[in-house]
Amino acid sequence: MTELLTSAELFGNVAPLLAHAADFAEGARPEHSATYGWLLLFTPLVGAIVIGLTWKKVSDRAAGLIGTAAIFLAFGAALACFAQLMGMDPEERHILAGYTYAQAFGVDFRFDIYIDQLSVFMALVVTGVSAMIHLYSVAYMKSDAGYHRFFSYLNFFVFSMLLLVLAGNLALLVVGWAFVGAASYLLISYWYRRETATAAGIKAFVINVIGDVGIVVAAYLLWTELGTLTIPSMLANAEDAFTVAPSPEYTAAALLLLVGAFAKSAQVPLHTWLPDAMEGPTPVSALIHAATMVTAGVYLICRMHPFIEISETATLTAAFLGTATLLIAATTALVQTDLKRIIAYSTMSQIGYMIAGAAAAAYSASLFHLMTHAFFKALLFMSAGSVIAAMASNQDVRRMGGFRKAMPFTYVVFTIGALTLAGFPFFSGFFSKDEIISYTLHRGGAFTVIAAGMYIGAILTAIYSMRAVFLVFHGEPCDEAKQLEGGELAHGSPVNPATGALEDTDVGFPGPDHQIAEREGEMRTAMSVLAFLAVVAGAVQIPGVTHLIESWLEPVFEDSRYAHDIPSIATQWIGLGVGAAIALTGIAIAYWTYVANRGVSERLATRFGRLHELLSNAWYFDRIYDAMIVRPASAIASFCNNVVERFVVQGIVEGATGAAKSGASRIRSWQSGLARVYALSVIGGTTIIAIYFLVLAK
Amino acid sequence: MTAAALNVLGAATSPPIEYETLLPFLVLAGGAVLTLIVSMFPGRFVQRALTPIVATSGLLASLVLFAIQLNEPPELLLSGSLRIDDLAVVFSLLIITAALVATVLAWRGSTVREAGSGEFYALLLSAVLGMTLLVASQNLVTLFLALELFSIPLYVLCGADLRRNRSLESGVKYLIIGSLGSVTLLYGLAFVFGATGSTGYAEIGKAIATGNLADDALLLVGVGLTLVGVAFKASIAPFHQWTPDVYEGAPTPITAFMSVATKAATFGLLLRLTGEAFLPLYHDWAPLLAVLAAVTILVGNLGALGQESLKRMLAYSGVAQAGYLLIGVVVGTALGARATVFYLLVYLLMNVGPFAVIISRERAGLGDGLTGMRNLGREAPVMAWSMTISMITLAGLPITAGFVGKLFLIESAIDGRYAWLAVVLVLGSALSLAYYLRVVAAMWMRPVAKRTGRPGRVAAVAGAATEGGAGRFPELVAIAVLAALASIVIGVWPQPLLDLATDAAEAFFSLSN
Amino acid sequence: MNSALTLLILLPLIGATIAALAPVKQVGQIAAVMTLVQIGFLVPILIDFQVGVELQAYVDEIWIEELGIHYALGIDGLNIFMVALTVFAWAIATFWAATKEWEQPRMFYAMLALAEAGTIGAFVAQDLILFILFFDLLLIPFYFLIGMWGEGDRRRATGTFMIYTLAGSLLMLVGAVAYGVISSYQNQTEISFLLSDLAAAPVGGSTQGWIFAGFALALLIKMPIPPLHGWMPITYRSTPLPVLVVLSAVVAKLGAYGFLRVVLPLMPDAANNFQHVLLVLAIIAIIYGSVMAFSQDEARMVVGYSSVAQIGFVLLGIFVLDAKGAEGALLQMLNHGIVVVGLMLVIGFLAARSNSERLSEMGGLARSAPIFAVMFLIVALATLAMPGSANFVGELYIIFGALSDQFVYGAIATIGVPLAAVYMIRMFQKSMHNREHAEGRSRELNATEFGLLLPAVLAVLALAVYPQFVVERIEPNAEFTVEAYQPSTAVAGGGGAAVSKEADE
Repeated sequence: MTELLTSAELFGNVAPLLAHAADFAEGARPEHSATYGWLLLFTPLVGAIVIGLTWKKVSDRAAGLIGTAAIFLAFGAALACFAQLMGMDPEERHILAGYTYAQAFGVDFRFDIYIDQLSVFMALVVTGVSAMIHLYSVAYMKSDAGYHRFFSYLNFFVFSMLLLVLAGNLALLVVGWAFVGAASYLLISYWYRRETATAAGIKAFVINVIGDVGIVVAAYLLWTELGTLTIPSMLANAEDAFTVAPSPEYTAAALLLLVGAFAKSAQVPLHTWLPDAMEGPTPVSALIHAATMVTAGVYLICRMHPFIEISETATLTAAFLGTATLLIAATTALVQTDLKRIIAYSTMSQIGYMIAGAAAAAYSASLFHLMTHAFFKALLFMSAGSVIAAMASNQDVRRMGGFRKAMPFTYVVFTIGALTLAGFPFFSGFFSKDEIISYTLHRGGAFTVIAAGMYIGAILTAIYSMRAVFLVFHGEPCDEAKQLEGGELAHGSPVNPATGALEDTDVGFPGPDHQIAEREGEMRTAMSVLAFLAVVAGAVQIPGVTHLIESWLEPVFEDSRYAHDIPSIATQWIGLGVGAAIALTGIAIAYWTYVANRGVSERLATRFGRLHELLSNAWYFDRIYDAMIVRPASAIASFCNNVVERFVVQGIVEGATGAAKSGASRIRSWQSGLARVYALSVIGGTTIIAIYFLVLAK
Repeated sequence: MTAAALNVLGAATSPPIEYETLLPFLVLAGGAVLTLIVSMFPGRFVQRALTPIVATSGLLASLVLFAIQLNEPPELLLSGSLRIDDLAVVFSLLIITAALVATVLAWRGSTVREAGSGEFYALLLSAVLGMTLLVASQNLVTLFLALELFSIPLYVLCGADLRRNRSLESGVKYLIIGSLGSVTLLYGLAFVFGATGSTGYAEIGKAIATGNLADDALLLVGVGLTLVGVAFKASIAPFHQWTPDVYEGAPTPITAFMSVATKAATFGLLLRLTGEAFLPLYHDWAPLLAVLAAVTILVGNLGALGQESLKRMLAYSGVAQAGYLLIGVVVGTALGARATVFYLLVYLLMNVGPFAVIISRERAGLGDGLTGMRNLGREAPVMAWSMTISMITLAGLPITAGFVGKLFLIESAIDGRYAWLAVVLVLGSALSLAYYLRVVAAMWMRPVAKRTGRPGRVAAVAGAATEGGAGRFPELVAIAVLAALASIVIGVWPQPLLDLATDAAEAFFSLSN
Repeated sequence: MNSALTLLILLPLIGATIAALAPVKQVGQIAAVMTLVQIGFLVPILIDFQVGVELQAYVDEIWIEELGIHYALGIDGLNIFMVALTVFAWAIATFWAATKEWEQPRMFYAMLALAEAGTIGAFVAQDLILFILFFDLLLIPFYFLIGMWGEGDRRRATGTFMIYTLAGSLLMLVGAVAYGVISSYQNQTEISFLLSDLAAAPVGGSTQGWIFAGFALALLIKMPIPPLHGWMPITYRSTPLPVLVVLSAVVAKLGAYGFLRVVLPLMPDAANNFQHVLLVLAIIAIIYGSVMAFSQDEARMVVGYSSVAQIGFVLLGIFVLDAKGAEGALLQMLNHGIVVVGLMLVIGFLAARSNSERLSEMGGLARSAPIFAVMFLIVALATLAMPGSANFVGELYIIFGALSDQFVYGAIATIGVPLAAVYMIRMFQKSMHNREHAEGRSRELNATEFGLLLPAVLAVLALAVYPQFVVERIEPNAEFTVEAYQPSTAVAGGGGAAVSKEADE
């Protein structure tokens, strides 16, 4: 483990910022130099700053190109890191470099980046998908007034995600965590003139901060046990922690890490912010709420796997909550009418798979699913964006229909995405999801129940994903579709569905003209690349044939207890078979209800009215939190304001002045101005004192 | 015939009179007489200029003569009736300075014209003589003699503004209540003499210490009544009630003189009595005085809170300051005495300034009310600043002499096991902030903030106060500014006054106990 | 006699007198320029400050012989950054004041300078009575600043502020004199109020208890900590904004500094006995401050109560009596100061744009003011101690310190972090986002406004990038102040110390 020794003390009192700059330039020994890592990390930040600063001087298109170029550069740097690691012998493929950030009393809070297989894998996925989304956004956001601001925030987001992924110090990971939260706040409330967007923004930010606090306290507990916050040395010290029975600190730390992971990956208790986050522009949903940010929780669990594995309770909690999210989200998605919210709930459910899989120690399987999910979910959001653009920013599925002929490219690409999501055989989703299920099944014991839940989820996923396809593209074309077939896009002043307020287009929120994939080259290239990857990516992990990801990540997870306890090739293939059957039945059911006889879903909705109500309100979570947290908080606030402040706090002030005033008035009244009254009090005083001395004399 | 009686008879033969040490007193007496004689001659010049000059020169002469006495070994005069030691000298210097300031304040005022400059200054000088004798007294008889000698002229001076019946009322009221106090004092002295058989402080102290008089009812009641008499003169609650009316009614220069000089004289006497005569009875009178001090601080500060008239407010503030001074006496140690003496010296500085400002506002026709003070900050910044500094010093805020004074009082209280008294002192001065700052607020701050626009000139309440209002009387400005500057200088560098206070305290307390 | 510190105290007064000589129109500008002279004077002291416990630029002259009061000044880890914060905040406040019209400007800038002199004096004083003297002295100028140039019901406000704060500090004065007298009596030493002498001859037994109470009362009023913050709402509403910058950012820190400099070293047993009382007060401050902050409509009150919550964290850091806590508290005092300077400026600019300071009457001001929005966001995120800002490092150390000794208090205190996010983002959002208010006009920062806000934002960013500069210089003193309370020599993360130490060498 190499470490940069130059800390500020060594430099004496030369301006410390100089020391800070020297750290970068010099780097450690040549072959382990972290320059690629620093390049990878800081390119997006530079991009964000450049776009931010040249806000007046550079044209919109140029800003978009700078942003996209920065991310492509970052992707190149990630590839360079990958190559550099490949060049090193497999056993010690990790580089740690950085400077002392805030170190005192044993709390080694260092600004370190840690490049190893897992972080490079994540960096590749993040920068890759982000590059595609940036390309897509160059076209999609063309008519938006806040173009520069959008790309600057987007680049800043990629920088913070890379900081999170590359962080070599748990405290620095929290910093990356919070930056990602801040970037998502800025991008959710990007159209800051919409009340619903800003409300969703603050909700996402606060829940994210709760996650931060969880990790900070977990960091403290791990620091007391392991004595350091630097991740590589924490993992190294973790070995000897296995031998001894896990102390309560470990369980608490593991659970708190889960709190952080669940807040970020929108798992059940802390998930309510994700559907509201759809208020942001569609590329934001594609990037943040599908491909990168929500997967940070999975990354955290994989990175900190020894500490999760140690405590039995933590693994079971993660598994059961993951499955619960999986089922709740899948069922809710069945009845959603907003296209983006269907995809948002599907994201929640797919991440449920990854978290449950990671809990079952199927780390490489979860990460594989994370990669494929990034591809097809980004694709789905992009195509949804294209459809929404066609619908003049109206996202209500019930008003859509028959876009098959009007938007052939989007139809094909959307269907590929939906099929991959459904687990259609030989698409990438099929391989990754079923690998998780077979690993979980193999784990046995309580995990069989988890696997069963996963299979049920698989059917529901197939149904709701194809439902979206059939509702949007099949059936007789709606009037927007007819106009599109006639050649021009539908126009109309968009109204915010929740509040009914007219959208304010001069600050953001695309104005009358929209961009659909059929007409924009960049959108098409980005979507076709992802469509290709969604179909082909499965080849990376065909059981028995290829296991690129597993072998690449193997050294990272070899210290896990179940590292070599993997199901045999045959069982995996059987799993795939079962998965294929389930996917096809799901697709058939969807076809039967939404294409063959369209009235069925309405009849079902009326018959099971209460169930429909439950699902469409996302199991009433929002209402519960509102009653449990928001309302009591404002009640306490008003109590403090009216009661405590007026009586206790001002009471001290009023009480003192009141007492003084009454004392003063009594003395003034006693001062009647009559000589005989004074004489009386003099004589009275004298007698009292005389009596006092007489008493003394006794 | 008891030995005491023989002793008195024996003294009938002419006692040895040490003329040269008595000189300062004689100069004062002579000055008073000379002022009377001079004022008999007609002519404006004589009345307006010559008499005051004669009076001031008399005061200055005695001031110098007293100053020479400083740091000389203590001397017993007139066979034990007077003791000229550092305590007496320091207090006399303080009293004479107060008198000098009073003469300057009264110089071109209406009172002197009303009462006739000769009578005014003569009475003033005789009052000063009485006070200096009081602080030097070593014998019960001289005590009472000196007390009456300074009280009676003051009764008359209070009523000096013949045209204003408030002044007459204050004079008469001071006479009636004052004589009641003196009678109680005399009663007490008689008891003490009866119990101990002698009139000299030292002998009394010895008699109490040696004889088993500690629980003799006669002596204790005597001590009680004496303390009441003195407490009355020092305006300590509950005997303070005459102070607000008398101070407000009396002509302002006299109020200024009384508020400082009477307190100085009475506390000088109190220090002598408690330090020498009644010291063995410490554990009897100390708790009583402590309670009185606490009550005085409370009553003084509360009383001053809502006052509209500044003289009345300063009267109550004087009562509260008397409470603070009493703490030094209560503690009964040299530290206590030093704290009281130092605080008295500071008290002169901080009390004289405001009176000069009040007189300037009165002469500008604005009366002594708070409304008269409004907008002084803009009209006469110099006067306003000196008034502000004096107010801040009275409140005891940092870098002013008041703060250092309070520091010593707190230290002596804690050192003398009366920590709770220190807390009462501190709470009192926190309370005092309310009325001291009210004056400052009136001068500088307009009540309601006007959003924009030039601040309109506020017409004075009665007649337009011309800018020169204060300017016409440079001597008032001089006194106010001098007092303020002195408060700051002493606040930053208290050593000179501190040495004076230490010498005074060491005069008869040995610093060790 | 090393007169560097005395000159540092007197420099503001010299500056004000020079400014007073200028014609009425230019008084403001010259006073502002004089503050730059101060910064120039302070920078060399900052640069050649040696990390370590002993006092530097030390001066010790006898002032009042009889009472053993020394005129002693010194700089060390505890107060070096507080002095820097004072000079920084006053410079910005004076420049801001110079952009406005004031009646009797000479007196205004004189008072502002006297307040600065008092504050610097209080921070560098090494004698107990001298500390209290400066502690009270700076109240006088604020009395005038609030009373003469304030808004609304300013006379009552300035009266309440003065009497409330002074009543507390006078009790502290009695406590201080008592400590000196009793310590010289118990240890038979000559009476002296020098902090080092007093620390060498501590007061034992129960008397330490009520002296501690006197000190705690005065310092809690100053911080302010509920329920003793009665003076804060009325004073904050009436104080003119440039004065509020220094009152809230710097003067409030004297309370916390008093605990670290005087109470902890001198009264170890009392601090131990009263520890839980103070910790409960800290928790109340955090929660009460946050709850009040997110339910206020006036921007000043939001910042005021958020300061109460942040100061609650500082108090928590101090009274967990752990080195990490003290380190975090000192760092937070600096960070909070810088951030409040920024926030007050922002409130001024918001008010200028929607001529009202009520959040309900603001909105959509970010529309044509992106630079203003970004700078406000940086300051707002730093206030809620977002990880990445130096405030986070401070809070991290406070929480680590709290969890290591008083786990329950640390755990409860973490509630304050999300609450901070709520009230700060609410303030940012209500003013910057959503629809414009009727007469609100969003316009970009003009040159002067940008120039005023820039230093605070740059300071936040500089500390965010490299907090070790501050953390390093505070470490020895933080350890020294709480040395008497360390149960065992091994710091909680036993292994940690070993690992990181060797990693450092």
